[in-house]
Amino acid sequence: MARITKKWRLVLLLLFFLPQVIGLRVGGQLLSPILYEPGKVIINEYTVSDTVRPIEVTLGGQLLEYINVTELKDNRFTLIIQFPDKLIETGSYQFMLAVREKAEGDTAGLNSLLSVTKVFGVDVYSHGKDIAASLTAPNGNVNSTMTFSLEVQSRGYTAIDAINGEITVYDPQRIEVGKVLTKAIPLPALDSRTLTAVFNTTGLLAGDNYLAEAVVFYDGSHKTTNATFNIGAKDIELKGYTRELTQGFSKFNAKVENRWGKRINNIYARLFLNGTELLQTPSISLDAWQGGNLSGIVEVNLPPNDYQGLLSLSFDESYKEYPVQISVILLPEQTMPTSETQNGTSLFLIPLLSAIGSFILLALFLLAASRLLKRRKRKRDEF
Amino acid sequence: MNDISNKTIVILLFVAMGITLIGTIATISRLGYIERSYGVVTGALPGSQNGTGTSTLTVIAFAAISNDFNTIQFGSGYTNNSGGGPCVMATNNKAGTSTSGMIFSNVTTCVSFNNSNDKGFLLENTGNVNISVNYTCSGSCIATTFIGGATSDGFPFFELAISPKTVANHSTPEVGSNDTAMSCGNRFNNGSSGGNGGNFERNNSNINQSYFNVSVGGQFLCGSAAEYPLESVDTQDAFVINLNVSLPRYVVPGGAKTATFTFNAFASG
Repeated sequence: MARITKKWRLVLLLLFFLPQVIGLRVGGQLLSPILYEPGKVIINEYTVSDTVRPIEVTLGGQLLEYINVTELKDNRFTLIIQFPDKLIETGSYQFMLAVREKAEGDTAGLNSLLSVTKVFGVDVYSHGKDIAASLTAPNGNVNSTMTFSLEVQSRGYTAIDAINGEITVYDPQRIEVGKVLTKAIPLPALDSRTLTAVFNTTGLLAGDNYLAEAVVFYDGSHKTTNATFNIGAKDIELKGYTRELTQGFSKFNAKVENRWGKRINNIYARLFLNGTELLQTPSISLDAWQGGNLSGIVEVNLPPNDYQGLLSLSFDESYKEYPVQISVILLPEQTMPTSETQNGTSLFLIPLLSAIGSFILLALFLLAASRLLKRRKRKRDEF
Repeated sequence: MNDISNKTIVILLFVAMGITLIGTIATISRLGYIERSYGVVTGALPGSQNGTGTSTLTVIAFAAISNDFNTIQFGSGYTNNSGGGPCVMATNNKAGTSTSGMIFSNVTTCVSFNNSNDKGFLLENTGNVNISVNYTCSGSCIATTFIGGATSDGFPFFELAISPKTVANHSTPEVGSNDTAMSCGNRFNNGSSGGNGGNFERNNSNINQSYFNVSVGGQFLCGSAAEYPLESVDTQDAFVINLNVSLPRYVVPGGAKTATFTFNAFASG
């Protein structure tokens, strides 16, 4: 009986260790997009896991004469890219690395295998001079200065003697309001540089959607890029507010936005309804162009109806007023709060259960061991 | 107090062992979820005699796909010629409709087949990068070779349909958390190789009714070789491939057939 019990335990133990996951995973550092450079060597290691089937690794696509993979060993292999010491034709190329499960004696019916393919892009730039440019135009303020940044990236294998930029500014109605120039600097091959220019907003009105258009000149050629920006003034703008209040106590919220390129302190709102001040909110500060909320609890003793009111926004010794319309409604019937069941188990519960199980296991082993010792001692005493 | 019997101790031993193992397996799979979400991070220690150095941080990209249901067996059987209709076996128990609006079922006409298949292939992005997925098929991949017999009344059919996991009726749990939002941006490629005339509308919430013919060359199911919309986000990373095997009333008996689908995950390298 003891021997049968031992076998039964062994079978049960084996059942607990059957594999659960059927998958295929290929891990390695991201390389794409790869910039072609003559003589460049790239070595990248990959690991394969999660699968129980034999696998094969194959290459496909373009530029395969420069690409190799090592033999798969211990579920690892290496990708080796070795570009020749010469330029090849300009363009974008693509090659693929596929790791596939191999079928082994599939059963009749419908079966499935898995495969993971990594797609690599290789960019071969112009053999001559070429660039890519992007313009950054930060939001500014009236009667101050702002700095445009023009990032220029070499997209050719030949160095450029000089790059410089000309930036034209248009107002929201697309009328030209100014022009600035950057310095001229050289640009090495495959490198990048940033050109800057300072623009004075004196005489311009606050507004959204100004346009800056940049032309980048490089050794007899040019490219254009553009960006939009806002010019701000010291102002707080109301973006929304609570339009319905219940009788008794309820929460009022006003959503506001700082329309200035600097921090504004001491911002608060006062709500007037039917000629009576209901609320002055706590004050907040907002960073440049930041949005925020002015909130407070109001006590409403008015009968249910629509009311015209006034919302006064105060900020840094200035203020502005907005007419508002708010509906007062009856307090809705209270409903029992529904308890929400927590989705998923706590992060700590499962490891805790595991630890408790381990302690119980240890205690039972000690108990069984002590009983075994007692029994042996009893038998010895009998003899 | 009476001594605890040996039998009781053994039972308690098994209970404790079970709690420990379940907790350990669940904890390890939680660690696997963290690994999939955030990748594996390696770092190189700075080293220089001058006391300065450069640390590098490399995030490893894991492109991975799992199939939690990898063999579908319809068994052997025959069609009931006097049953009035064809034998339709679909893994989602929804055979769709023909162009004439006729709805098919497998209740009386499929005899001795394993009609309890109620799960299709469950594919899941278990890596930490976005992927696209296509399929190819080898073996008996078209209706007349997989099922056999000449076509009759528009039959046989050997088709597949795609559903986000949240829409499909698939009870197998995912490797990670079960999805709560539609995967692939609900932009599955619904097939253009014909089918039983079901609804081919994309972004259809009843997308699991939209069957299309299996082909050897296969096609992309989600995304393309350059576009990878199946996210690695754990709550929207799975979809189901249901299969429809439909036999006409009169089928020439044949031997056991095999069709092997290869599901291929594409990712940026």
